[in-house]
Amino acid sequence: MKIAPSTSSDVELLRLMLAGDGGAFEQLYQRWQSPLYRFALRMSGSETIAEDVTQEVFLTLMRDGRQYSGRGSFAAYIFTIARHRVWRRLQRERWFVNLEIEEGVESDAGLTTDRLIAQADPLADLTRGEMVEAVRRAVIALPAHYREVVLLCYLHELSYAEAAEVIGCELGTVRSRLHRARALLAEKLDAMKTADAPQRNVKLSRRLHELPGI
Amino acid sequence: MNCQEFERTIIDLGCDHLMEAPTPARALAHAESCARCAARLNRERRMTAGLQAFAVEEAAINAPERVGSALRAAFDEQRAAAASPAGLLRFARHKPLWGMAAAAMLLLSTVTAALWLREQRAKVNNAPADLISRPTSQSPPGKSPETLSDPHQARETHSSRVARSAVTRGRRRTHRVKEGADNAGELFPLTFVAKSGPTEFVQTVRIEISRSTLMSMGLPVNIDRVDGLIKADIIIGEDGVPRAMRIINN
Repeated sequence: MKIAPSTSSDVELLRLMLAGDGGAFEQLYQRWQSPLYRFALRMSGSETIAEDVTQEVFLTLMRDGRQYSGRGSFAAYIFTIARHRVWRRLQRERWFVNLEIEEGVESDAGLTTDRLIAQADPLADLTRGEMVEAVRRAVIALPAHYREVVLLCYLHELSYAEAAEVIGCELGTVRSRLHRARALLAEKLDAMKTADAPQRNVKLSRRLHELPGI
Repeated sequence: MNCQEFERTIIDLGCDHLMEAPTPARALAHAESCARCAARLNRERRMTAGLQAFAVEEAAINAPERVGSALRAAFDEQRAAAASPAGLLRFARHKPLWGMAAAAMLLLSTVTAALWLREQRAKVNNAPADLISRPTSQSPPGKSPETLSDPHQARETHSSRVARSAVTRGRRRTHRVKEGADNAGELFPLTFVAKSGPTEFVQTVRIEISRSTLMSMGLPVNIDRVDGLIKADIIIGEDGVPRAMRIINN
């Protein structure tokens, strides 16, 4: 998460921004534009929606920022607004958003610990770039309500309690969704690894042929 | 700790999430003794590493510059509007307040109009009430007995009442007054009336009187029917002395 060099708290910056301080607005924007944009981008799969959502969140702050009571964390507050906007756009434009195939919610019902243990580690033998790309594809392919807990807890480092506040559910629900999301991720990574295996073998054989003396 | 309990802590353990003090140590001790759970733990840790690498790569993504430019413009516009002397601009952003104010004004004007109409109706109903409610006993309010003693005044009084009732109560109520008076004619004050107070209680007594008697009192009578009787109302004061009389035209 990109943090601006300012040491002022988000609440203080918000207060100053609402009082008309342009510097405070700039700092708050620099601090939060990237997390909000990325969250919206990974949730919607659309750069247009991500831009709109980022803009709408800050416009909401300008208009209704005084409604923030300071009781919960500012991160939870701002992600709650973003999540609401994203879901509304997804529901409105669901036929036009180019998301990768989402599997059904119950598709992970057959996942068991034994299966997870029996499978080979899908991220083993991958370079860092390949691993990042594989995880990115797997995360994007998660069903939306699993994807959002992964994004909030792992990419934006919200606590379970903050994620529960953003989503509007119980703490235990966040835990269980994370558990299932990780199991689904492992399954998708396995599937990807299996699908990519022939291609990887071709690449590997080419490299071997390029080596001197072979 | 057994494998089932280990499975419940694997996510937090794989993410190095904070847990209660003895739990991580017990889970790690179990992983050392169980190959399956050790493999599971390694797998989760690699997954966490993958997610962290993904998060680091993602952190470099920023919103396009046009988003920031548009927001800065919006912020400046809002600040200019807030700083403008016309407080109405600030108020205009609170559309719900406008709606509530309009609704309050509408409600207030409606209530005021309803109260005014009710008051006007009450005035109309109360003004002629004494005329309607006392067909046989009259105590003319605000009129001294002198008005009855003066024939012109008495005549004027009755006709003006009728005229007033015609104005205030409308045609229907005026008709009711005439019916209640049994087609009575004008009041003729009797010349021997003694002075009485303005609050004197009077009574109306209907009698039949010969035309000749009326002639002797100086009242105009049809001479051709001088022997007949006619109906008349005598207004009698508290002392039993007649104050006035009117002929009933039936």
